[in-house]
Amino acid sequence: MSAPLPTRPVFRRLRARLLARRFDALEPRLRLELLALTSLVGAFLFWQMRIAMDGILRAHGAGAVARFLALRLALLVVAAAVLAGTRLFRSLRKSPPGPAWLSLPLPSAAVLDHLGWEARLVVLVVAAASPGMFAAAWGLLPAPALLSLVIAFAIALAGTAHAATFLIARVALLPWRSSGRVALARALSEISVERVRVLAPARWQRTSPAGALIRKDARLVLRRPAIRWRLVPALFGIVAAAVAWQLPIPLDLARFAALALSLLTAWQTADALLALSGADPYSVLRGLPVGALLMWSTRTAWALLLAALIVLTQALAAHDLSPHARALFLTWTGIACFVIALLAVHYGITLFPRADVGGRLLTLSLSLAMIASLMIPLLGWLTLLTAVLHSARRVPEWARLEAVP
Amino acid sequence: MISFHDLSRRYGSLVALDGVSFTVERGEIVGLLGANGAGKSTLMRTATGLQPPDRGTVRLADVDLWAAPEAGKRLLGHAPEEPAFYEELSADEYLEFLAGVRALDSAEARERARALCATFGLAERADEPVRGFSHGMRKKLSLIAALLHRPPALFLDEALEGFDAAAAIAAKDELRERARDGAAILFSSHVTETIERLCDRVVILHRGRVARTMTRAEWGGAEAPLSRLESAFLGILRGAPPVT
Repeated sequence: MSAPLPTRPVFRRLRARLLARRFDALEPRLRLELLALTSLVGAFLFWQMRIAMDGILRAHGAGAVARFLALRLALLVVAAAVLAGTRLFRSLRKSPPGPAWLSLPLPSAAVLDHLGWEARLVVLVVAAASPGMFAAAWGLLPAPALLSLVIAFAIALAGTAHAATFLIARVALLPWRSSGRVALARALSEISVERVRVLAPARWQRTSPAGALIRKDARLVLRRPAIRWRLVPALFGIVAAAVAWQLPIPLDLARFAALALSLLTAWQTADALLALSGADPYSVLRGLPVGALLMWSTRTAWALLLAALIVLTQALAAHDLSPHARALFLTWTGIACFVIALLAVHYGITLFPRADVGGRLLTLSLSLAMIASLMIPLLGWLTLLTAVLHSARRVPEWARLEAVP
Repeated sequence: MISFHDLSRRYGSLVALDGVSFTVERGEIVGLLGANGAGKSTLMRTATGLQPPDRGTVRLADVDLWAAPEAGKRLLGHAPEEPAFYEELSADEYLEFLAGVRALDSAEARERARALCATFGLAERADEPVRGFSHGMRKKLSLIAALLHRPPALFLDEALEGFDAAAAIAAKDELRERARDGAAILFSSHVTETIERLCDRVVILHRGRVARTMTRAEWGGAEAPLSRLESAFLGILRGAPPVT
């Protein structure tokens, strides 16, 4: 009988190489984007927490500040654990990254441990939010207390994420528990087995090119989980924005809540529109006689549909407002939601087929607009409009744009 | 019908196409041969609107593809080496989508799609999502999609790879029929035997340039272990002087 393979050093080397290669794979521009986004989030958290903690220090002392900070750090720790666990669960139920693990002479525990490490990488993203929070507490807490919080946060972040992936690995493999040590092998081997589903025959009705594109988009929305699951929260958002008017809160607060929820819904829909543009295979769509105007108009139809749906539900729900105030609110909300979705349409076209790059730019643009809005009223809208106009300039070049490598 | 003039394309310092010029006449099937990295795929991508050239033109009939991409793409059909699809759609829905975007008559397109699916042995699986298709079935669907609108210019990149014997024979018959109807076909393949049997002429690409063109008469009557076409191709790869 052969001795067990020394897997630990092998995986350690693999992980070091994977981290190095993934960092190398980030284009310099993307690194700058990520740095900018992290700085923005950090600045935003610093801005928000510094003022709050300063007030707490004056009113309740340093102990209260420490509790305030610890609670928010604990939320980060929980968020990181949930994200890591979810990622591992998905990889065990979908397709785990890496080679055909089952064909390698590895013990299940080593593979699970590695998949857990892959899932826990998301912790780095969550941890990136913490420097702004610690910086906000600088000078308000004694240095030893702040240092203790930093160390405790790092330990809690790593420990909780490990615990989450350990727990989730057991939960994800529960259906195969009866098969004992080969549970992972059974789970992974069943991932690729998919039942063949026969669809209803196509209708082959006479349609325009725009109609064919819209019908194809509708089918993708219904059948591709990545798009569908982005739209579900958006539908909840539309309902929640309508429900905001029925809450026993002052009218001004209800109006603010309805607007905020509508904008978040538009953001979520914009993300779904980008996922939809990423679902188009490059060699199919680019090889077809589809021009920029046709492409833009069919995607913009979805953005208009979103805005119309939000305006309609808000018009039905916001009956406590005066007619003039209601008209103003509906116009403002409708245009804002449409513009957010339109930005996603533009990024989906000009960055096709790299929907991931489009998604990052959308997050960057909307975060920037949101932060600008919080700092100086209306500046956010100006920022958003600038992004839409800037991206619109590249739309006519659709047929000549190349795939970003 | 298909005309390449001074087509050039670089990827950084790598020259993929270097002043490629040749034509494919109506009713002609022209084979495109070349080693890996010779520029075949770049030529196909540039000829089908997927990747603009740095210099030169691609003309389909009287249309400059890169000056009028929509008009040009109405004239061409393309079966890429690695076809991509909307994985969630069935083969039937995918073909219906293509017919809609190309504004074909729906009844006629449906009959054509069904006939082609039957010819290539795909009819029984036409209502299943493409996601579950094997490599050979994907290649068949890609060829059907390229043939659906009876384009006057066809660009086929390893189009018969993965076909079973019966489907390969049917596909060759279909391509010959398309050529008889006046279509110009550029057929890229690594398999010299397929090119020998199917094509009227061959263009051999080497390091991004047209190294040689051969007509059927020049390679006909192969008796040696290597046919004259294979010998010519190997000669170019081994550094024999190009003869155009």
